[in-house]
Formats: sequence, C-alpha cells, structure tokens
Amino acid sequence: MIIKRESIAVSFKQLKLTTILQHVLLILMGVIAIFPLYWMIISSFKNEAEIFTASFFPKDPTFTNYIYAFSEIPIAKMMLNSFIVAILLTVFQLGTSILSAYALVRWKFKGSFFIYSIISLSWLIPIQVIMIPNYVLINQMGLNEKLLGIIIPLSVSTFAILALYQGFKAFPTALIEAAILEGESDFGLLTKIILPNLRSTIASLGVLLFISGWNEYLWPMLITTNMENAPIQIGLRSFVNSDTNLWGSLMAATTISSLPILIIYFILRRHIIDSFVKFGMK
Amino acid sequence: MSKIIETKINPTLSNNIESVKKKRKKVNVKPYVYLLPAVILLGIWMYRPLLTTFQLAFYQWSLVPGTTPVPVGWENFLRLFANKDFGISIYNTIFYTIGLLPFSIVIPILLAVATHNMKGRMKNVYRALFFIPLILAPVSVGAIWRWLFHPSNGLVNITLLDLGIIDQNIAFFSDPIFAKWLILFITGWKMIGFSTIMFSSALTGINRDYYEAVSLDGASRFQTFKDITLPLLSPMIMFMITMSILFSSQWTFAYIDILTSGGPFGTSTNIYYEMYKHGFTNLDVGLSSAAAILFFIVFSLITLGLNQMTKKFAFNDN
Amino acid sequence: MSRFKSMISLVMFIAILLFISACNMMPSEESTSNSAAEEETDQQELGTLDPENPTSVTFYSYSLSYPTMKPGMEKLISDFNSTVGKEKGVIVEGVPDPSFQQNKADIAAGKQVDIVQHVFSSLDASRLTLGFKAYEDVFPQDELEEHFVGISENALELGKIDGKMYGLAFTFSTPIVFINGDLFEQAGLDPNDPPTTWEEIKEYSLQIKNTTGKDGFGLPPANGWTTDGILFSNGANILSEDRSEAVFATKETFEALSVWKDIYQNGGHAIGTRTDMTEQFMAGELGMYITSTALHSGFINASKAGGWELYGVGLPQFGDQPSVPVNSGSVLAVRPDTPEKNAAVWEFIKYVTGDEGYTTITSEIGYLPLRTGLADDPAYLKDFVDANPLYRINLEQLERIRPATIWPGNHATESTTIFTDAIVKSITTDADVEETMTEAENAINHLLQ
Repeated sequence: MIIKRESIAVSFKQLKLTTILQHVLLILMGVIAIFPLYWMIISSFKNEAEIFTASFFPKDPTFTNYIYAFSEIPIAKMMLNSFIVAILLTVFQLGTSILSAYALVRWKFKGSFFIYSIISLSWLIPIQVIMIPNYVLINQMGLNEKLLGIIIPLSVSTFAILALYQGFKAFPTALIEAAILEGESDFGLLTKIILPNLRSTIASLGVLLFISGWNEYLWPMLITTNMENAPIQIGLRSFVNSDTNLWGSLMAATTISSLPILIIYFILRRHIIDSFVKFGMK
Repeated sequence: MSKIIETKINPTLSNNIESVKKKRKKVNVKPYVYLLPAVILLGIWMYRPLLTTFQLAFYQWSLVPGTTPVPVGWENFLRLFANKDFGISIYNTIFYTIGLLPFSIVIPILLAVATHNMKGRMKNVYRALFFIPLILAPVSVGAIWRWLFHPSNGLVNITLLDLGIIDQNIAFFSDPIFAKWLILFITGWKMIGFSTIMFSSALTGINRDYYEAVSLDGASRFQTFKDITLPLLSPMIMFMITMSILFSSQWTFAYIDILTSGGPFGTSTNIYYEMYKHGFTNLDVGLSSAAAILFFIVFSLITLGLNQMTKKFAFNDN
Repeated sequence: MSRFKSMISLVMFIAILLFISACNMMPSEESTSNSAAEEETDQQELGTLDPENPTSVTFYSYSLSYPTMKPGMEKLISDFNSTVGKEKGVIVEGVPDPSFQQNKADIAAGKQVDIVQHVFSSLDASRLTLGFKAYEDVFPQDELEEHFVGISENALELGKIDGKMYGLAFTFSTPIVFINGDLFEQAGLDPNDPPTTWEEIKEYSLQIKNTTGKDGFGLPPANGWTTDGILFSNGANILSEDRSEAVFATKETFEALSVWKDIYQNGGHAIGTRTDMTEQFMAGELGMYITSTALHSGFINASKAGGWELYGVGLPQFGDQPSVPVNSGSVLAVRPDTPEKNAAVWEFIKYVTGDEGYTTITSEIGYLPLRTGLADDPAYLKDFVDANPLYRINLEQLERIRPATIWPGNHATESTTIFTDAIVKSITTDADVEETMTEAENAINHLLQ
C-alpha cells in the first residue's frame, strides 16, 4: 500500500480539527441526551424550598418527595401491574412471533406471501385508528379494568415477527439438514436446534419487548380507569395534570417508575444495542 | 417493507428442505397451524376494528351502550372539514413529519459517522448515552420536559432570565408558536438514539475496501463521505425516511397529549390527537372514524410512494 | 410476476372485506340495564334498604382527583358511610373522576355509575347521552320538597333544565380575587383596601410588578367559567334565552375582552395555564389571582407555609356596573336503575346536601354552604366563617350570581372548545378581538343548527 506523503500531512491536519469538532458534537449530544434524566433524579431529592431553584445539586437532599409520592398514588400496586403487563406481553409476543416466523421461513406454502403481507401491513395500522372498536369489544367481553384487557389486544408484535423472520432466515442450513436427516420433527427442529442457537437474539428481542410493554401508555389509559388497576405510566400521567405544586413528588414518582427499565438497561445494554445493530445490518 | 429488508438472498432453510421433501405431495397443514395464533389475534384486534372504524365513519354514535349508531352518510366528513382544528391538525401533521426528519436522518448520520471510527470503549459509551432517551417512557419524558419548561420555575426560564436573553417568563406550552416546536424537539430528542444506532450498524456493514481504494486516490474526507458512504447508506436512509414519515404522528402523540392537549387553541394538535379527542373526549365516534379513514388513505398512498422511491434510489451493494 | 398477482389478490381481498363488512360489525343494541332514557316508567318509589345487605352505590367525583379537595371529599364520604350509611345499609364508593372523563368512559363501558359530581356546562349534553334522570322522576315529590327547604333559591334553579331538576347543587362557589397581602404591602398598597374595578386592577397590578418584579395579576384565559362572569359583568350575554343560539359577539363582549387583553399584554399579568398560575400564586409569586373559592383551603395552607397573609375581594366591576359573578361548582346528577338504588342514592344525596354535608364541604374543602343559614349558625359554620372572612365575600356575591352557560345538547364539548379557544386567542395574541369572537359565534351557531 503506497501512501502519498502529502496526503498524510493534509489528512492529519484535517483529522485534528474534525476530530475535535466531532468530539464536541458528540459530547454536546451526549449531554442533551442524558441531562433530562439527571434533572429528574436530582429534582426528586430537592425539598420544597429548593425545588423551584435551578440548583444543579440538591443542597439539602430529602426523601419526603418519595414518601409523598407513595401516598398520592398506589405506586407499589401499579408497579406490580406494570410488571405483569410487561412480562406477559413479552411472553405472548415472543411466543406468537417465534411460531409465525418459523412457519414463514420453514415452509413454502400457498398464501405465504399473502400472510406475510398481512402481518407486515398491520405494523402500519396506528392504535388511534383501531382503539374505539377494540375498546367496545373489551368492554363487551368484560375485560375492562383487567390487565388481560390491556394485554390480549397487544399480544402480537409485528416488529417481533419481522425481526425473528430475519433471524431465522439467516440461520445456517447445515445444522438444519443434519437434524432432518436424523429424523427430527418440525417442532423439535424449532425447539432443539434453532432456538438454543438464537438465544441471544431472542433474549435481546425479549428485553426490547419488555421495555416497550413497560412504557405502554395510550391503550392502558383507555382500558383501566381505577388507579389500582392501572400500570404505573397512567398514575404518572394523572400526576402530571394535577392541580398543584407536586413537582418534587412527580419527579420522585417518575424516577421510581423508570428504575426497573434503567436497571435492566444498565445490565443488558450491550445486548439491547447489539440486537438493534443486527436488525440494522439487513 | 419486505423489499428493503431482504437485500441479501441467503440460502434458506426452505430451499434445501424442499429438495429433501420433493416426493411429498399432500398439503402441509403445519404452517397454518403455527401461524394460527398470530393470524387470529391480528384478525380480531387489528383488522376487524379497522373495518369497523371504516364503517363507523358513516354513523353518528356516542359509544354509550344502549344507544345505536345512526347512519348519517357523508355528514361526518363534512363536519370534519368544517372543524376549525382539522385544518391545523393536517398542517401540523405535515410540520411534525417533515420537521422530524433532521432528527431522524441528518443528525443521526452525523453522529453515527462521528462515532464510527472510534475505539470500542468510547463508541459504546456514546451509544449507551444516546440510547437512553429511547428507553424512557413517554409519560416520564413528558413529565420531565414539562418541568424543565415550566413557566415560572422551570430551569429553562430561570436560565434564560439569568442570562438576560429574555426579561419575562415564557409559558412555552401555552404559546401558539413554541408549543409545537417544543413537541417536535422533544420527539426528535427521543428518537435520535434509535436512528443513530441504525445508521451505526449500517455503516459497519460497509465494506472497508472501498475506503482504502478511495484514500489511495487522495480523496478528502468530505468527498469520501459524499461518494462512498452516502450511496452505500442509502438503503438504510430510505428505510429510516419511511419509518420517520409513517410513524412521526404516532411518536408525537404522547407528548401532545401530556404537554399541550393539542393547544393552545389547537395549534399543536395532529391528526392522531384529533382522532383521539373526538373519540374519547367529545364522544363523537363518527368524526373520529372519519378522520381515521382519511388518514389511512393518505398514508397508504404515501407508503406506496415511498416503496417505489426506495426501489429507485436505494443502492444495493451486490 | 407471481408476486404481482399476489399483490392484486391481496388488494382485492381487502376491498371485498370492506364491502362485505356490512354484516354484524356494528355495536348492536345492548340489553344492559343502562339503556337510554326511554324507560321512563314511574320509578318514583324508593325501595327498601337493608343494613344487613347494604346496597352499594358509586359516586364519581372530580374533587377526589384534586389534591387540595381530596381529603375533604373523602371525609364526606366516609362520614356518611359510618353514620347514615351504616344505619340504613348503604355503602358509597367514591371514584375519582379526573377531567370529568371517567364517568363518561365507564358509562360507555356499561359499568355501574350511580351518582356523578357534574359540572354545569355539559349537564345538558350528559342528560341526553348518558342517561341521567330527573329528580322528579326518581325521588318522591314530598321528600324532595322537604329536603329543599333552606337551600338558596338561586342555587336550586341552576341544575334545572326545561323545568326539571337534573342536578342538585352540590359544591358551589363564586370566583373571587385572592390577594397576597405581603406583595401588596411590599408594593405600598393596602390589602384591606383592595381594587374593585378593572381600572384599579390594572393600576395595582402594574404597581406590584414595577416595585416587586413579581406578576401583579392573573386570570387564566382558559379558566372554564369565570370568563362567563366577566362578560356578564359588562352586560353581555352568551346564549339566547332559549339556548338555541350563541349571542356573545356583541359590543359589550368586545369591550370587556379588550380591557382584559390590555391587562394581559401591558399590565403585569401572569402567563400560562390555570395550573401554572395556581402554582404561581401558591408559591407566593403572584399578587392577585381570580379563581374559585374552592381553592381556598389550598391557598390558606400555602400562605401559612410561605409566611404571607391571604386576603380577598369580589369580582371586579366595569365602571359602576355591579359585577355579575358566575357560579362554579357542581351538581349531583343521578342515574340509579332500581328502586333500591333510588333509595340508597337518595340517602347519600340527603346527607351531603344537608347540614352536616355542607358544613364539611365548606370547612374542609372551601365551597359555599348552599344552606346559607349555616353561616350564622354557631353549631355549624359561624366560627369558620368568622375566622375566614373571605367567605362573606362569597355569600355576598351569591345575591348577584348568574348560572354558568349550559351549552346545548350534543355539541356541548365542541362549543365549549370553540368558545374557550377564541377567548384564549383574543386575550393572549395579537388577534383582533371582534373578529375572533364573531368567527367563534358563527362556528358555534353553525353547529347548533
């Protein structure tokens, strides 16, 4: 590799300036990305006198906001609701998408394109367009106020199906052929060969689905009206629109509600980001 | 969509299996069985309500059991067009859609390129940071930003006053101009991480040989970017443009609901919010459904258009 | 090419579905016990209640979702449950109703919604769509008459629509100007000599702003109902007598709004939403604030915490025309569906609109006692009113109140939105007041046809 001397000199100079600019941009964006989170956390510890100031660190940190938050809305119960909804949604969505993606990839059958199209197109249907009839149906089924009423209509995640479809398609055929020659059934093929090898993809997908289920907001708001039955996001929402100076407690409640996600993110961020990266590479 | 995703043709399971199973002629029920749960659920919870909504647009109804929908022909559509907030909501929908593009395309590309050549450690730190807005719940995000922009006690007002940039507090979310720009900014803020990661990964997929060949010819960084990086990124760019256009209304909805309720006097609402408002606040199901149909038709056309454009413009490295 | 064919068949499939979808997709007539008003059998009888098997009724209350009002309302409910309720066999379950949406949603869902704390402006719409019943139709006439003795006449009229009572006045207040005594004194003003006209309001507000730097006056443009009072005070009307058309785009309205707009743009007026201004006042950062006395208890606590004194004065007048305050508050709208429910509901209504009820509502929350006699009765509210002279202002204004606008029928929410938006636009922006309000009036009348 012959490298011209001049171009090295020029590139180095360019490199320095652009690198510095790059880093400035990145740091700026990084700060913008994380500042609101920081502000939320420190605000939650500020006492009544300090909360209306712009201090960057609470001078007199207090837990009263948290105590008050717990008394204002049934936080514990709502966190539990959120957990149940998020976990069940993850399970159902993973289940349906594994089965569907497998079917679409494994066999060539009549109508496969048709079904694939129906599935992909459903991604484009926004919840606002279908919310009213679904709301009516849930009430007719008597599932309003119940967590199942939140969960069942959301049990299929088109995104998950499409993601797994890609994942399955890229699976090495050698392993498949070997298994078939050994007389493995279709279901066994799925459970014993494919799934174990795609464990990390599925795990990452699962985490994403969990986060998305935890953050669900419009649909649970329509279905549950009683605080006791609602996920934590709904509790926060009514807190936001309430009449008085409860900003400290609101920030405390928001912090609490974000904790599980932040913890999961912190531990598993590599996996989460990697799964996005893989999706992007298609 | 499927066309964008399948840019590479891999030897699939099915091809090889086919050769093994060439002798079998009977219809295989299995795929249908596997697909049954998903298809049934989609049918009940996505397609059935879609069709019901289409129907409901031609009726007047208030969602109360015991009352039946009253057929009113095209009246809902006429009333929709006469509604003063409708025009604004269309304009805002376009505003948000186009306005979000810098946040979902331009800035993320720059960020992705900037982090691309870094050593692993730094790259991961930045990636982790940019991703955080994405995992926070919309409600939490709404609450925090509302607090930051509070008219008398928010950090933004305090800082602006201290710096002497303004001499009076600004009630951002009650201001006809600021309200929608803020919604745009907050939505953009949330989505930057997502796009950056996607572009990052697309960059990783670009063959290094191209860069080496070009550097031999002494191309500047900018030229490299223009002639190599961008074209090779084009499938991802088209994909992100599609996603952004299709979903920006969805993404902004939460913030409109929490922060401005479409106000002040309807200046920050978008078509989704109008649907929601008519359906559940005004209990006017017909109007809501009429809005839904209009939106659906328009966006279907846009999707088709985007699909065509993608085929034309996306340059695939084959 | 086969892809293309599949595409076509997909499109055709959807098109066919669209046309066939005429069958059985629509919500059909529900045979719930909550079916619409046509079931008007003479249900005036009260069923028998049994303490051993208490009847449970639901009470949807928005006060339960406001932090300042919640404790008082909860006390009211639990007081009932532990006294009359226990004795007669009624259990009342309070359901918070933020933004008055909950009861609508639950009724739409077919749930048990028996009593609703309902605001005035949308009462008519609800009567039509949500199945609320007239008191005359579900409770015996003699009981009604006996119970109403002692309640202010004006108050009783407010919940009547077309001659029948669809809501019994429950919580009630008039708007007053709350004053931060501290800021007044700092600005060299005497809180015991408050402004009484709009000119004085502007004067005082500017003085506060100029000397202390804090905003002097606040009245949120989107305030729900106080605006009606501002317009009435200048002689304007909002709806015609028969409520069939909007008539607010008149000279009197433009004048009134211009005065307000002037203060907003040039008079040290606070900015933001009602929530923002309420917070600002409670934080001690606002000199004068017009809002309902329902917030009194919250403000008293805030002033104590902040170390300033709370004062007040009635709604300002235009020149020498006495002001015409509009009441805010709520009525109790009912929709019981069985004779037993009738009885249970009636017990609760009697309690909360009786002497004990109103005493709690006034002293614990801040609303007016509708049984005005209570204010002078030492056994009930005399001490409280003496300790909180702001109440006298309220009681005095009661003589001049006019009902808040009850927008007609099906388009009440939309009409309210158009009206409020026009007010906000007129006051907070450069828009021309006359143009904006006339446009709004036309839009509403278009709807009302």
